[in-house]
Amino acid sequence: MKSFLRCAAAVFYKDLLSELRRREYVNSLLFFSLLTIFLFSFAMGTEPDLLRKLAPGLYWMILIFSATLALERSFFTELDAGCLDGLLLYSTSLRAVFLGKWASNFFFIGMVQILVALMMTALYNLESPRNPPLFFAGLLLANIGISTLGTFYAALVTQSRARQVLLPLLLFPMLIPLLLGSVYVTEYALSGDPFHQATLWLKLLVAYDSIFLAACFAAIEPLLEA
Amino acid sequence: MQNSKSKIQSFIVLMAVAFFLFAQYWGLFKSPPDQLMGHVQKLMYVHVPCAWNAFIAFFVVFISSFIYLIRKNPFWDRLAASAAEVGVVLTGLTLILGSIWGRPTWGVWWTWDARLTTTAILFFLYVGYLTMRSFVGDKDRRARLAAPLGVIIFLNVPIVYMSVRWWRTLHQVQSSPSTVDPNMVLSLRLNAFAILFVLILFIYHRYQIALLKDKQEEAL
Repeated sequence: MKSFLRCAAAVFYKDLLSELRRREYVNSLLFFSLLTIFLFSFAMGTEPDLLRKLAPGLYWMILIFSATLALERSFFTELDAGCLDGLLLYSTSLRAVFLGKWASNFFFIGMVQILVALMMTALYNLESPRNPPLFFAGLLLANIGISTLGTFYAALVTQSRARQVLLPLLLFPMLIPLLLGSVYVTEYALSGDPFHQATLWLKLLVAYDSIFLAACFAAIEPLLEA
Repeated sequence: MQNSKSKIQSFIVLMAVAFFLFAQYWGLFKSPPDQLMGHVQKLMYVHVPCAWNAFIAFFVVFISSFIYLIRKNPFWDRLAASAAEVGVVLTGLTLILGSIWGRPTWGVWWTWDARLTTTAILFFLYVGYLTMRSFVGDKDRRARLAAPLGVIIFLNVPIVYMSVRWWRTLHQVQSSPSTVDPNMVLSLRLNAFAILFVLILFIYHRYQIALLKDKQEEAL
């Protein structure tokens, strides 16, 4: 168990370190999300009321698009010079590699979440959420879900041709319940939730996360062995 | 061996075609038209059975993917692939027939109702599954990658359904068999079995094609 966690932590550390040294993906990721915020306001117009109304939906659209970029990174970088095979061979367990990759994706997506939230608040002139704990709970649960399925699918499509197309094609339909849940949670967190309507969606997100964490964890071994 | 195989095949073909024609005849001429919708309602005899059987096909994908994960027998992978293809066709038919039915009765081709949306998402999920399969060249690797996917996708179906149901709902709920004309119930059930035979026939054929393709790949 201890070596398992150490292995996962090592994979996580390795990812962070290589990102810190190169700063390729993080930079392009942050600029991509910033750019999409601008693009949406060009497409929708700059009327503050409209943007405020659309904000939760736009926020999660931007996030899912940017997250796909972050996720593509996670296994593709390992393809050079047979890094992936080495990583899988040296590690105590394939699940530990998955957990480490999951952690680094969680970290990068979390970073994008915070940045996009701040930038949108400034650019779309939004008020700060009326219910901050709910807002952050939504971010956290959605991030867990996106990084779980995202890591799983990134591992899956790495071994096929046409990865760039395949990842969103497979991932987006899977994320629909998560998208619905997080959009509503964010909406209630922003506008206040006197009737506790967000509870239902929070439950959905918790169920979604736990089911797919368990399933991906169980199914990752045969997948990485392939 | 070859002889018994072709016997099975002709038996399934015969069953599927004869049963389908009979059930369609029954649905079109023997069962009464709906009180409000008239003859348009007869679309139900293809629309609903297609939906049911698509679910059966996807369940087969799930079960065979799951067994493949444990047994690693290529039989299960080929079965999963064949069932997924047929399931996608039936889901597509369900959506199209539903649209044709929706236009005269609801006044719209499409509406963002829970069941419609779930079916559409199901369609996308399994098209993704098939696309992924087509992008992996090596058949062992393809099988090992597709099996976890077949399981994970299926787990999402109830979650999608619940979430979309909370999102919005318009589709009429199922009528209970006790409130509709017994001839309609009979018609629906006949057609459900007819399409089940068609499903089996298609899966059987797709399986044979997959088997031949694998053999061809091995020979090359």
